[in-house]
Amino acid sequence: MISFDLSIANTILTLDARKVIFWENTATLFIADLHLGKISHFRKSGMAIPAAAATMNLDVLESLFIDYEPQHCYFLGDLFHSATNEEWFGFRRLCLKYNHIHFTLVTGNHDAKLVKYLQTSENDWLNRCDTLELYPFLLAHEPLDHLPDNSLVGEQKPLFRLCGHFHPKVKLVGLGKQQISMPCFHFSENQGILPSFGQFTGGCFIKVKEGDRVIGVMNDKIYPIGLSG
Amino acid sequence: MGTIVSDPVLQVKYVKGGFLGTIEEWFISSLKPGEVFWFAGQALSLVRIKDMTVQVRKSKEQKGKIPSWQGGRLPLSSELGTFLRNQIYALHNHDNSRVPEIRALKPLINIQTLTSAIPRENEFLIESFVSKEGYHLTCYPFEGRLVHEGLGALVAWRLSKIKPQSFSIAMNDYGIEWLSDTPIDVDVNLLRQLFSVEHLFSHRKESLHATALASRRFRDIATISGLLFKGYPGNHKKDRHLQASGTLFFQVFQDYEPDNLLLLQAYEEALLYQMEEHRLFDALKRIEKQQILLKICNKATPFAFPIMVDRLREKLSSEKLEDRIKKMTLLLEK
Repeated sequence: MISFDLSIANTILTLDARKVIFWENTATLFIADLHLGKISHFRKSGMAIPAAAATMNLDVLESLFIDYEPQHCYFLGDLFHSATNEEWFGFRRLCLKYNHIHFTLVTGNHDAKLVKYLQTSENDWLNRCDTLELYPFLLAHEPLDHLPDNSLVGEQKPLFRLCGHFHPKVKLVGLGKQQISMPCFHFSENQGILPSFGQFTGGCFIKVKEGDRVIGVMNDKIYPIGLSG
Repeated sequence: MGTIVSDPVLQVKYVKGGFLGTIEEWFISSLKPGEVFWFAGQALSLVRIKDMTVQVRKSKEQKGKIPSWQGGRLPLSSELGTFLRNQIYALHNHDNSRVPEIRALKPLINIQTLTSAIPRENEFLIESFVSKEGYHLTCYPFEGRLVHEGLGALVAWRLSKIKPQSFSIAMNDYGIEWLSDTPIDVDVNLLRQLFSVEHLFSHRKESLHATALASRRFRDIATISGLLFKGYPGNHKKDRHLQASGTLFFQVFQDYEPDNLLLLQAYEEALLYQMEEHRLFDALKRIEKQQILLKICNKATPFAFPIMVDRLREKLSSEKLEDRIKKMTLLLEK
């Protein structure tokens, strides 16, 4: 199985094994934590990570543009890992090639340097915002449980939050001390966290509560995971 | 960048100041504030960990945890292994033994004899039993941890070729345990083949690729080559945008640059240390000359118990991922 339809907030989201969500109703693609430029950033500091891993991100991205033909594409933060480098231009070239798509960046903690850079150059093809209401969703980078409580005061409407930041992973256990861990989508009552899209990004084990939905991703396949009582 | 690979260490200081020494992070993170451990010749109670410093107070308690260091995990040499095997064979006359340790072990020796057996010089003991955890198979070559890691992977790989099955492998200096969620069907004839020296060269390579042995070797290699920077001693790591874990590096090299020299080094070292060919060969040759003594036991024997509780485990599976996931569940946060 390479994609899985999940009914959320009275609409249907398609979870793709390429670690993205496609919202068919509005032809919208959601992608979190690309961490573009991470590999080049490491290489610049003398750590010889294979450069091929960097172009892989863009190849997968292009395959998504071709398969889903989205009209909108939202990057849910951490688009760029650190200071801009040549990976940015490859990414820009790709986005401009598909310039009928409206690209929006919901900024994340890693994007500070990118935002500064964007202000100094011509980049109107990429909209920017901190959070964005897209009924019935609220797009943000950081999950709710990561924010101090009082930061929610301004938001009255209970929109369903779509976000990233955590790079969620789960560990499955079985008889005979069997264990598998994998990146996952994590849906709880009022928010959905996407796995990190970028190659060469790690992960963090999440706490799963009763009633949550967890959909794992491994070896380009998607696995809805049963929860034990 | 350092060429001596060690676990991260923290400084131990009194709350009021006064440096006592350094301790490995994994040990101290297993303690809760208020817990007592022995260090620098005195009982100390942990107050807090702050800025890479362990703050402690003197304690009047007499009982406390004893710290250990990862470097203390030196494997048995083959000479010591032989000596230990001879001691085990000698347990048959333990009644007359003048060694105080053997006399103290008497109750355990009796349980081992009753529930399973104590092997003689011409016997190789293999035990099989079922527990809540699953199906266990244990054996006791006394070859040291590193050789057991290699042997454990080799036998599991050979077993996994018979039918799709997943194994969790534990080992210490004395023996190996294979644990599976489905029955491990073996008889004396099959065991002969599993512990055979035939095709040893190709099989040990294949089993190496099926386990994470090389990936663990890679952590040290990544540190020495400067890919992983653990920070200067006693200092915080800087430049968080340049952090990644050893397994992540291993994965990305594996996927995108399989002929990378650092990666090949990891496989080479695993072959050299865990799968040291002549020691593995000697061990299997010796087992070949012995009679296989397969005991079906009701529960874990005194021989098996210390291996089962070892937390560092190796994994090997020939089952399809889909099938494995179907049998597994997610632990809920309570």
